[in-house]
Amino acid sequence: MATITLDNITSIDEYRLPLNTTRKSYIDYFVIKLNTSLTYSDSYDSTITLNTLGVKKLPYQTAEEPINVNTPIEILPSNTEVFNDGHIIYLMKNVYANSEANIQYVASISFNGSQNIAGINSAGTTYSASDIAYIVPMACFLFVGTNNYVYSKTAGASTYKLDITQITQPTATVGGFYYTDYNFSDSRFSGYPSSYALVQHLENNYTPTDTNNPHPGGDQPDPDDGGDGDFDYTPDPIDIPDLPTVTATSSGLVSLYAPTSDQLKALADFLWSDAFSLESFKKLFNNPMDAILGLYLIPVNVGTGAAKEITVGNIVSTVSCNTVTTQYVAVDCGTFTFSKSAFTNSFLDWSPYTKCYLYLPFIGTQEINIDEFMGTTMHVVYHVDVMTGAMLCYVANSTDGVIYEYMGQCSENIPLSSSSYSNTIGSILNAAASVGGVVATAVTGGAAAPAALGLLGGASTATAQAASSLKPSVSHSGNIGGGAGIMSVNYPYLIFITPRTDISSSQYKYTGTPSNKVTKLSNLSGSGFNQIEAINLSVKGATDTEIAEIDATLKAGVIL
Amino acid sequence: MSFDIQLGYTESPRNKVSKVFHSYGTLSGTLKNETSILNPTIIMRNDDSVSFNADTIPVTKCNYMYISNFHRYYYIVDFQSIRNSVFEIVGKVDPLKTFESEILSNTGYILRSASRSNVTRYLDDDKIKIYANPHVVTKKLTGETFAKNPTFILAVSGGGGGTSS
Repeated sequence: MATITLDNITSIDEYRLPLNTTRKSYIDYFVIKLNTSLTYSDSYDSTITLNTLGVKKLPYQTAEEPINVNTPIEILPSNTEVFNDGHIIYLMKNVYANSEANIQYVASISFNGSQNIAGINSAGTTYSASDIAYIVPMACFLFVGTNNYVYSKTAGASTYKLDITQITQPTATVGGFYYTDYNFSDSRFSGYPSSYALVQHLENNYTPTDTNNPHPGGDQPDPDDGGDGDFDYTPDPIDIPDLPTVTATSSGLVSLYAPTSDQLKALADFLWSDAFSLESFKKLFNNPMDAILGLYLIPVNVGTGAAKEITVGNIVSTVSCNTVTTQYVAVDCGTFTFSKSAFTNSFLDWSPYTKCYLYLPFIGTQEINIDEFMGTTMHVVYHVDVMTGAMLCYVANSTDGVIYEYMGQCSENIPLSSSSYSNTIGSILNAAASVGGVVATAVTGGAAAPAALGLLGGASTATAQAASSLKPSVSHSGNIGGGAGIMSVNYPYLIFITPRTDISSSQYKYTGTPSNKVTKLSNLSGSGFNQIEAINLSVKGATDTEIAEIDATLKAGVIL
Repeated sequence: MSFDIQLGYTESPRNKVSKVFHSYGTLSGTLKNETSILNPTIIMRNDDSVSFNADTIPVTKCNYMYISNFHRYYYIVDFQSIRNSVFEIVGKVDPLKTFESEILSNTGYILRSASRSNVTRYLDDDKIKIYANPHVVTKKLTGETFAKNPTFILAVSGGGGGTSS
């Protein structure tokens, strides 16, 4: 009998097998491929050899412990009796179908190079894939070499059910699982992989088929009810554009230099020296400063070419400095990956519960919608015009491309005359006034938000949402540009504000968790608290008063 | 007309469908006039203690009963003494336990469930409490930064273009 570990697993892939395209019936399943063969046999089955784990039989039935084939297998939170372990649990997901009458359970599935699926009803009649049409809540087993299954039953119950909580606990990391953390004394289990550990491995490596709904809970909608639109949700990524190739300096009428401080001093000396031919210069300009279009500081590493004498108007100076080779420069500020399971791995990680702000140098702090980045990688790139200091910031995600664009200004002008100094001071004052306006608007908006959303006093207000929405939205910074920007933080960063939850470990037993499923109530038997949103109650022999009481109790919440 | 009443107790929560009924034993009683099957008052002749299977257990320790003639389980809501050795048990039908199998065979749209299978994490859950003090976390992007020491740029008229682009 083969012994396998996770080292024997070469791949775990999820597939979707369409059953009925009209009804959108399908079955999602994992296929686990091994680098070794498994041979299995026991008194109930002939020898089977596999190199891909598959489902042998569901449910497993022995003469000694008959299993009610009409009862779907389900995962229970607790039980009192546990049977031998030693099997990898195969989690079958989302089996959809169209007729309850045709199917009792999925009897066997083989992954030996083909995709076969068959159903069987309680009378033993088998059905093909096209007949399978009902949601079959189930978990299937993969056998790894022992001849018993993880079934359990509650005291006095006649049916056996899978109990995931009673499966052995992992004792090591991937690749080295063995049974030590469980009260088995059976030496046959030594060296076998832990079912629970492998289930965890499967779940951790599970890539959902529908990334927009990674944990689908609802059933497939009936086409008559809507929800089956044909919009193509495949994005057309908006790429960050290339830098312009035609520039102002390519006209030859304007030149850009990247002088050092000493070179600037030398240029000043030259401009006011006898060497400067004022007569020829005056043919074009009133004074030497008219030919200098601008002098400023810019916080990017510009591309520079060979040294060249600075030419002012038509006068070639004696000062040589590096020329600027590119008017447009890209600054790639890098990436940040938003994990979908970053904080609580739940709806609380998304808006409006989790808020996300992005600080951008020379632009300020901007609130972004975290929904647009969850599960993707954010990429921030600036394009800077070295000649004017104007900049455009692109914020993209790895799926859709550019989502946000912000404009900024990163140059600090150095005034060369009294008039340009006045302009510089004036622009700073205007910027300050603008910042005050931004803050005032934000505070007002934050206070008004709950009332605007209708959250105050609403009986149906969701607690978490209400608390989250009542938090004021405060601007973290105003417009940071030019000289002020040069003094500020010079790289982008994110600020996450995410709820700190208080969830008791067994709270779900008393309140349940959102289900959004249509199912037979017996399928929930033994699970604990359940609240039924809608039911067309049929109770043979009950009076109208009793039916009304049952209906009210089911809707208020019952323990099934 | 007298009929059998199976007396006992249950420790199951009132909103549990599959209640566990622990029976002490069976006594007989008669239905009081002008009473209903859903909220019956049953007259019983006995003293304060009732003998069940050789054990003497005060009848007031019972809180649940089953009347096979009515095919129903009942909560015992009160005991009333009528006269010496005669008392009344006031019951209220428990339709959940009574129609357990019929209820479980119904199909419904489940709003919330404690079942751990197919947990839907991404639906809003108003039962989750959050603290007033959220987590505030800053994260840097991994990439270029703007230069701490800026570069002088001199733009002049003429010169034949200072760039090579």
